[in-house]
Amino acid sequence: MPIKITKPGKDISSTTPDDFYLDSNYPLLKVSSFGTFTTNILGKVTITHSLGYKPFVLVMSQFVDTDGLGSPVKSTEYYQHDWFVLGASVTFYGYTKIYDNTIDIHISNTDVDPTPGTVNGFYYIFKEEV
Amino acid sequence: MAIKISKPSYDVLTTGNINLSFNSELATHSIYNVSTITLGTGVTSGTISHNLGYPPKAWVFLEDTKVFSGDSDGTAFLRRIPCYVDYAGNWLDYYVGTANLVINKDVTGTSYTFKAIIFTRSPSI
Repeated sequence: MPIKITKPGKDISSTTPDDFYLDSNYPLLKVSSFGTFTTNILGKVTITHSLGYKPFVLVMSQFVDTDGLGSPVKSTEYYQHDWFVLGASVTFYGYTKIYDNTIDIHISNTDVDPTPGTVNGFYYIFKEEV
Repeated sequence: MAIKISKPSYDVLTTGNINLSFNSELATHSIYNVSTITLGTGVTSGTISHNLGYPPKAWVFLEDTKVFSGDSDGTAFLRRIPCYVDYAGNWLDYYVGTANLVINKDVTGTSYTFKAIIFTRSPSI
């Protein structure tokens, strides 16, 4: 028998999933691990989750752009870590690869230039398999 | 009356939401379904029906073995979209409506497989 908790004013017999704060018919997204990371602007961070399958992952980070004079600038905000800043002479990009036991968080650029500086971010790895 | 479950060592009567594993007054992040769809060569759009009657929260992952031409070790991995797939700025993207989730790609020469996670939540929570 399912366990259900409705939102205020909603009927427990509703067939609309969004009417429930909790409905055990639908699995909850459960956090397996989370944390922060810092990586070089040309760099990679590997985080081990050891789940044995590819889980749901959320990674957010600062993105890198250029100031137009060849120097990198970083955003103060955090964006989904699949960003791509298309420039006239160099393109910076960041992406996350989700493997069975690790995730790799990459930052690179089309010049493959070891630009000085670091980028900060955070991640959530969930128990659920995609 | 609310039902609350705190993390170990936190007093459920006094601690804040950040230290609660469950609070019946807050919506849970529940999964409606997970679907797989392949957009083959020559195809630029694909639709997954959910028929919830409202646009739900959704995440979409790309199954791939490389990111751009210079990054391939042959091992399969997942990657979130929206994202770019090459240095030319070609992209993969998606949107949700009241009945469907639609995935778009602006490249026709490559086949891509996606996994879409549709949550039960509407933007109104």
